[in-house]
Amino acid sequence: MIRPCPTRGAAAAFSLSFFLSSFFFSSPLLADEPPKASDPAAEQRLKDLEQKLDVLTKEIEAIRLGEAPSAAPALTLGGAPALALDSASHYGLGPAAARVYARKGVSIGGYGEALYQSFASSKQNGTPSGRTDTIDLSRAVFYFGYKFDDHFVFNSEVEFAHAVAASDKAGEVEIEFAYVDWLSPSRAFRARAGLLLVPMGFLNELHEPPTFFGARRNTVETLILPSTWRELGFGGYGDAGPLAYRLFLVNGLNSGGYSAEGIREGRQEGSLAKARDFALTGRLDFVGVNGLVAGASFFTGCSGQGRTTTFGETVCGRTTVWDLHADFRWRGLSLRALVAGSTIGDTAAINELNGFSGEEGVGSRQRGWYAEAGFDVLTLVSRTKLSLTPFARYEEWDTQRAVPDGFSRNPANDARQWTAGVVFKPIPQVVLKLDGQWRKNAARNGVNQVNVAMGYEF
Amino acid sequence: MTRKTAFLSEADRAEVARRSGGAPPPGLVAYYVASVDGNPAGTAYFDTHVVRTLPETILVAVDPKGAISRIEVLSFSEPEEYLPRGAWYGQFPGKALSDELSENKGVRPVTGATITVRVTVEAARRVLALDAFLKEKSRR
Repeated sequence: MIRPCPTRGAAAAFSLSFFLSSFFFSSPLLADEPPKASDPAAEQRLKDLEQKLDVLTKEIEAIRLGEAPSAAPALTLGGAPALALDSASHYGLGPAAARVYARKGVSIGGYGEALYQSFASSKQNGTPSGRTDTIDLSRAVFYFGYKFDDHFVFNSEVEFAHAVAASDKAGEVEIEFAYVDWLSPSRAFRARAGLLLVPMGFLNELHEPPTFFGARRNTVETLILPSTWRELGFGGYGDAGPLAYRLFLVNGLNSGGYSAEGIREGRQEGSLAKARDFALTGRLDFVGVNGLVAGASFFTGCSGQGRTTTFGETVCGRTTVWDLHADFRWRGLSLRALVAGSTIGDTAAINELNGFSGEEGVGSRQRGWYAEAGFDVLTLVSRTKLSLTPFARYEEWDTQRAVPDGFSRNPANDARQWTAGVVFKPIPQVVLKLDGQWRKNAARNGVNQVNVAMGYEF
Repeated sequence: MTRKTAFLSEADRAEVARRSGGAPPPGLVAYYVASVDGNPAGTAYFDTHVVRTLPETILVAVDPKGAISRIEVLSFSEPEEYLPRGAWYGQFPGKALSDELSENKGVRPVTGATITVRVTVEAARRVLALDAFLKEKSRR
């Protein structure tokens, strides 16, 4: 991690204190006989000292501000003339262009969460659930970014899931994203290329534990929108007035991984991904009101990746995923809703190639939605950094809303769930969560559970 | 526009921190006082703070009544995903140091930029507390 500003600032501060100490301890100003005001030599010495002090304070200020002073915007205060810093004109940028530019260097961050799950002893229909309680370091993620220059930035996240990645353990090590951004002076258009997050829903791009309710991520954005969903590709993003957009061309899904539970295992995640079929994905949000994000997103492309039927026909398996979403925050109130769905073409051929029959078949349509609300009750008391938010969420999903002829729907995939609990943040970056989940499905074998989680981000 | 420098003792810094409810300001503070026809028009301060692991510098302009007249981001070293859009900073003008100057109260949060929101609000509170403190000190 490179943090030149504090280091140089400390060095400068040390130099200043050394200078002042040296001066005062050897100066006649500390002698028993104070210099007379009329002493020209003493007055000159005082003037020199003031001048040196002025230079040093400016130096310290410049070091503390880093590169900022050279790009200070024209500032008017109540009609007063523009603020003119010493080096304000050197950079030659207007306020808009100078608004943001980072120093070069490495940025490090991360997040993680540990989850305890306690399952009910019986299913919805009263039969034993057979589930065993678990506790797990679900993920520890480390972010690394690097600023090459004012235009090129690298961002990445490395995830360690379930603590241990070994042949006899469930853990994995994954690159969650790794891309290079090209930043133009304007926010209207920027370019991105690499392993990037598909810009759908809320959790796929924003899943640090303090940013969402619930010890577990919501199910709709796990099954219908398979978070964390990333693919290799490129495209652009930016702002246009009150709108924010993203549009990327990425490798397509692989229908060889599809199942009755949906498209989740069709993600290729940048790991020797089959690249016969590509897909287009995008997002448009209205962000013109502070506290509100509302928009839509999509993903569409073939998923056959070169597979052919027994008759030699190439399978497209066009998969189109969409969602509508809205998030609103006002004071301590948080409201969020999302509806998502997908359609898959050529499901009969995909099921044949995947070896599925009966209720195992990949559905030709999926659908899900959820709505949640929470209120930070500590916003009602005087200023505190603590946060305590009771919340509730209701969601429904069906990964086999429709199936091709010759296949049947598994009622276990037609489910609904209530989640209710509380989120406590002792500081904004650390979170403790406690909630209960009541799950029912059409097969009547849903299992309720209680969850406790600890999360962090930095 | 006049550039001024304030040297704050440990007690001064602690007092500003108490008023702002956050971290203390540095011991050496440079600020810029603007005046029109001899009347004070406002004061501008720079505040440099760490967002996640890298620093951000903002300029906070304070009007003669002690309320924010403008906030400008001068340097932001974290990825831009963590930087609120310009309209978000438009919430600050007119806000004085009070409970309302808090995220989730008078300042609306930003989905995806919660850390930046928090440190920016803290910086704004720190500057307002410092401005009031320096004015009181100059009147003594």
